[in-house]
Amino acid sequence: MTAPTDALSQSRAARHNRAAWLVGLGLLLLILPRLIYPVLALDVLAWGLFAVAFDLLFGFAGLLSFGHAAFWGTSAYVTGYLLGHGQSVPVAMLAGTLSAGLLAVPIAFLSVRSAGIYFSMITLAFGQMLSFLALQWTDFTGGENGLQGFARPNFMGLDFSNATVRYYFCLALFGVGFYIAYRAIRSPFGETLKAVRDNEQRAQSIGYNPNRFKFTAFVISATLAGLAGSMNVFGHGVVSLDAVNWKTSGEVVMMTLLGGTTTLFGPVVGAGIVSLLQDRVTSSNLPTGIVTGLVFVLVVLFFRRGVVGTLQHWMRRK
Amino acid sequence: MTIATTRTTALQTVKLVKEFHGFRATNDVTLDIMEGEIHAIIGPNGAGKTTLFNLLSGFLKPTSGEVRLFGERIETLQPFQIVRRGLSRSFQISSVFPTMTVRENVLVALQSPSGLPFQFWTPLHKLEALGPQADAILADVGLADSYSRLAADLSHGEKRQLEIGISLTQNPKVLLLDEPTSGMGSEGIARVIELVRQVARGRTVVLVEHNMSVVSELTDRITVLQYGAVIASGKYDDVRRDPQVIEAYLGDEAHA
Ligand SMILES: Nc1ncnc2c1ncn2[C@@H]1O[C@H](COP(=O)(O)OP(=O)(O)OP(=O)(O)O)[C@@H](O)[C@H]1O
Ligand SMILES: [Mg+2]
Repeated sequence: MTAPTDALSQSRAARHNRAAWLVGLGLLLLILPRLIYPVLALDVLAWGLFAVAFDLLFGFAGLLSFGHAAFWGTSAYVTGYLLGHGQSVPVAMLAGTLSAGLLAVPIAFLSVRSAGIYFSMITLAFGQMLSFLALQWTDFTGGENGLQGFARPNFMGLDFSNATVRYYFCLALFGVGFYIAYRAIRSPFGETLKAVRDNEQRAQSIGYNPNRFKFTAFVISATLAGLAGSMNVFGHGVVSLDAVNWKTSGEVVMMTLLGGTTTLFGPVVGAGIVSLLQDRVTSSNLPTGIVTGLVFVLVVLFFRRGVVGTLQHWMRRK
Repeated sequence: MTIATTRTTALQTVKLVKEFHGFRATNDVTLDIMEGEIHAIIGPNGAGKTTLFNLLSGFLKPTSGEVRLFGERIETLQPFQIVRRGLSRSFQISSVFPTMTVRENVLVALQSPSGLPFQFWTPLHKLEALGPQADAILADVGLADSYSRLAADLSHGEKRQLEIGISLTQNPKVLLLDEPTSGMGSEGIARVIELVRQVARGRTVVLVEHNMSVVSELTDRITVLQYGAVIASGKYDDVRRDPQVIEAYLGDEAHA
């Protein structure tokens, strides 16, 4: 039969396409601190990974979380708190990341039983609970003042007071996080997740327990969001209440849609665009929210697949 | 594989009742389906055939009564648990994975009994090990040439074919087919008949079917439902002479 070889060559074309994006994006990230100032480049990395983590759940499991700031923010506070109490950078970041994953266990357990808008509302509610907790529990979070002025002790000869060094340290972590998300998607697990997203009834009738797969995707997503949150704290050296604000949850939705959901690289591109835009707009006198909102609306209106999704679509057609 | 005299019951229901807001869609159904038989469930529209399938496969929980699969009570189990015990079904309204290709639809279903689905460290191309099996199923259901098309782009008839193909991936001991030939042309119907004959070797098949020539050609026994209740059950030739059945459903067709 000739069918299987054809199928392989077709997926080979897709693989080449992915490889091209990977190399292009990888090179861009490697030289990014030369193109924009390093702290802004760090923003792109942290938000980019956050958006990739979000899209693992949204794009591939079909679950729109409106509370992902809970995981990004929890990790941010744990990382900042531990750095402020003399822990090393790797320990603080690892603990932050794990705390986000741990927090996700009960939240995922309770929320994946619901679908659609109900899932979104439940995650939003948990996000708001956490935001309230962060405001109240000032011993740990610093309340309105947040956490700042903590040390970032050098590690293995790396001078973390240098923003460029911090960038490349985070780029390595970004690579790890991105690879984990990639594996989760391009694997039998990812295929099952897509099946559950496409048609839950059918997935059940071929022996899958949908909630188990959604739960696992949720916890992986939240853990990676935690890694991203700890990168952000490490990059900036401060944690504020913004980290757990619902606007942060909304921003990651916007970045993902802007870049293109289920495109793997799209969320990173979307995060890049939003970060750069916000940076430009803040240094001018224009109102940030309105400008980014306007760009978002325009992109969603004219490029429904997002930036990367639209590009990929054009490339496939020609 | 078993001698006729020692046949066991594959699937059994005891006084099965399903009410929707007081309306009895399944009314006191007691059924015995023997291992290795091809059994047809027939009845007019709204008789409760699909509801019965939903009760058998765990998609609905009965108001009262029992469902037994090889003796084990299964009426409280979830659909995915019932599949793992050897009962697989197809849907009356084609139920496929629209964003995946035809071949991926079958592959993702084939991998389910393996330990693969929870291994996200396994690269996707490892799934190719199941490729020959997938291609064989696609050839059986007549979709070998459509393997790379998106399931969403298939015609109605092709979706029906894929629907059956997905159900076959589970290598079930008992296979439930809900109107497998609906909306198919004569060529498709002939293929389904051939396919059901082939898969029925060593398996038990229950099918809901409106096409009487398919029923007479394939089945050992039939059960007639009306208003959710069994009004007749037995050999096709006996049941079609039953006056109650003639009145309820078969009408002129029985004399044809
Ligand atoms: N989820 C439900 N809620 C309420 N009523 C339902 C539900 N499912 C089915 N029914 C009703 O139960 C009755 C039996 O429906 P069912 O789909 O089982 O019939 P059927 O024999 O499969 O018919 P058809 O030949 O049209 O497929 C119908 O009157 C239907 O309206
Ligand atoms: Mg029906």
